[in-house]
Amino acid sequence: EAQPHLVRLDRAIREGEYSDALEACDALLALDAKDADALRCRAVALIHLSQHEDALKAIAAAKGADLRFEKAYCLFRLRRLPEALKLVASLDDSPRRRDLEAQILYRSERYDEAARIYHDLLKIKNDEYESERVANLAAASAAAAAA
Amino acid sequence: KPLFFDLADNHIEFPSLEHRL
Ligand SMILES: [K+]
Repeated sequence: EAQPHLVRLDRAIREGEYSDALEACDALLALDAKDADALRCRAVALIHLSQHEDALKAIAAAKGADLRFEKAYCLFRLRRLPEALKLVASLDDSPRRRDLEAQILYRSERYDEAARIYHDLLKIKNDEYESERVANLAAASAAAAAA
Repeated sequence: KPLFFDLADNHIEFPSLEHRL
């Protein structure tokens, strides 16, 4: 019976209890190894637990789920920057894709390209991350000028 | 060193489980 584990998973996600979420995912997958929600949640929980190598394995196991953004993020955190950038380039355009692309470029010391993305992103209005992007644009511009 | 925010951290989200509950 999956229901108690789903209730536990839902609560764990809402409360940010990622170890508990992981255990609930494992319980769901013991019942049904192909449970798409559990596979996807397991990968996301591992990322939140900063277990990026394990998250990559979980993403590979979650066949059928589009977790390319999450995979690119893991590659970024593992400092596999060229691979991360290549994968990001395959994603549909969106603010989250541009944020990830810009920070990979910044960490790759490609400051001009990072600054250009933040500049373009700041044209999008009513986004909750505007002040952080202003800071990132300033950081990237300063680094580009110093390079 | 200037302040820089890894914004993509905020974009790693769980799927909704509403349809299962
Ligand atoms: K995705």
